[in-house]
Amino acid sequence: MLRGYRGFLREMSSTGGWRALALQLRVGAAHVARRWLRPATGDPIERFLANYGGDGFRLPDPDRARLQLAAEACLVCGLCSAECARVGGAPRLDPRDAVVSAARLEIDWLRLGLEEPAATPCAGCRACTAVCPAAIPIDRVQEALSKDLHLAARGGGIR
Amino acid sequence: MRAVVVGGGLAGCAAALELRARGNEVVLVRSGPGATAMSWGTLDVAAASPLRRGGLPLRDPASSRSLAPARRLLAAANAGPAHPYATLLRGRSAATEVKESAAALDGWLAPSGLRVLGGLDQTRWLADLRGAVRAADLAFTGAGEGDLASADEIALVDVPGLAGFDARAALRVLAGELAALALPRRPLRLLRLALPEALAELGAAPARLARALEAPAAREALRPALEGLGADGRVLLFPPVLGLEGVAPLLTWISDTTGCRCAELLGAPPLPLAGYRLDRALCAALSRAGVEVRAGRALSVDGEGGRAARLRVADLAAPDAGDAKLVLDALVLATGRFVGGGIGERDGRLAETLLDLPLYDLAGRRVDGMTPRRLARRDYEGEQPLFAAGVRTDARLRPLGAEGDVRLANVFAAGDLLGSFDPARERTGLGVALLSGRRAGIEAAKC
Repeated sequence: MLRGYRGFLREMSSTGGWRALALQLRVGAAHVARRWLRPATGDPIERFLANYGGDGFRLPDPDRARLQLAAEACLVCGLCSAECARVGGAPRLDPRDAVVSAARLEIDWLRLGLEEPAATPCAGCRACTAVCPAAIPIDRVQEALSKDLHLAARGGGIR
Repeated sequence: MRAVVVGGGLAGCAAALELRARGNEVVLVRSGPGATAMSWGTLDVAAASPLRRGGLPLRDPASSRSLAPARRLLAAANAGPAHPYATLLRGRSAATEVKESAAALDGWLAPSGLRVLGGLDQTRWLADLRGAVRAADLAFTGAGEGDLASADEIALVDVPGLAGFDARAALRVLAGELAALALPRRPLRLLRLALPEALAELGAAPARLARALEAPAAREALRPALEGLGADGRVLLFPPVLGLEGVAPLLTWISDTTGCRCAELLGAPPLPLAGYRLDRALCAALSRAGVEVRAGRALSVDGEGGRAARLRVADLAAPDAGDAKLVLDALVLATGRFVGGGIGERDGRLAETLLDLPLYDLAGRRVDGMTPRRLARRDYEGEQPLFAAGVRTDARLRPLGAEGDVRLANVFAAGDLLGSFDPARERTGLGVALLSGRRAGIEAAKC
């Protein structure tokens, strides 16, 4: 692993120059040391942009990233699935599966959704969101998912 | 008098219903269903954990005779003066207190078809979805009928295609646990319930299957599959999917059809229907009693002259409407711990979220302001200060400040927010919620 990192550094110094190497030091040493002395506070997305936005780093979509972050709080309790079954919702993807896949990589949203193309899309009744003990905006996860699926069906890629 | 209860779990509901029963105007603020909706189908006043370290004892260490749950309850109360049971049972009979509370809960849930079964005089041996055995005391309709000790033969019913349930593995675990617990040996059997095609398709989404099984038409479709499942003295243990909102009608029908005792296995997430039904039944009880339930998140409390006067609430039903201010004469906090949100992280440190009350662990050490990482131990079964953290109260369940003083005279705490006990290790979760919730409601009504 160390050899791989050395190779990475060599690659960086040859292609990106000293500026990239300085960034490596900031990320790998200065940032770690600061975090160790002072715990992180506030919104992680804002923090990332404040720390690295000046270096030219951009998040593909801060809203989507925030949604993914919220989905990581999922306890996989299944109460949203139960509530969805009670109110008679028939989303393309079970709300719990939607949240779990949202917490992973976006590509999984697509894969899971496309496996069941026949099911109807979510009606957006928000019953799942009301019952979630972890306060995840499940309806918004579903909404983002349908948007992805819509684009994928047109052959337009993820965004 | 106008009382506000914060928390939608069992403790909050019990407090609200006791307050309402005494003729008060009650508003219950709830941001979600809380950890109660993730319970397994038992009440667990003082359930033993015989195969784990650190839980309540199953047997008397001196005589090795098995202990009745009532004795385990006393053991829990005697374990530490700060334990919620010690506070709740001081100068009272534990047996009467639990019996009254169980009867009250039964009265609230019975109209929804959910009953509270059992008592503190006898241990109920119940198996869960994975085959692990729990030495429970009180349990709800569904799992409660599944006492293993009173069966001549135990049959696990496999439902092929049901997600999250591996009957073969569960049977192996069950056999191992029955031997380890030295329970009398009895035949174990694996039976198959082949669902008709229309229902089998739903196996991948257990909640939808449970919903479909509620329909009267499903019974006729099930009838051929149930043939041959029954036998004398056999108890049939089904995975917990026999109905979404209520389990009693289908359970009774299967019992009549097969001619033997039927029950569900205890089920936890990701098959959470036991907790879901309990949550639904509690909500129904609140609405019947005339408690106003608001979907909201409590933000802060305004105090006036040593009393809480107003609660600021973010409305979750209408997020753009701005915060509401609820004027109150008494406030019950049943905000729970990490699931409910009563205790959480602030700037990376452990804190009580609403009033910033001091928190204490099992040993009575103050733990708020510490990083959660420092309070978690590597030993999985060992003592975990993080999971025992909560507030301290006086004998009337009013939370104490840092100097051991009551800061707000009309604020009461109940449920998992109370500290110095670890519900997961002791298996006293809903028991403490019920007893402390009722008591907080009764005390708040005196304000």
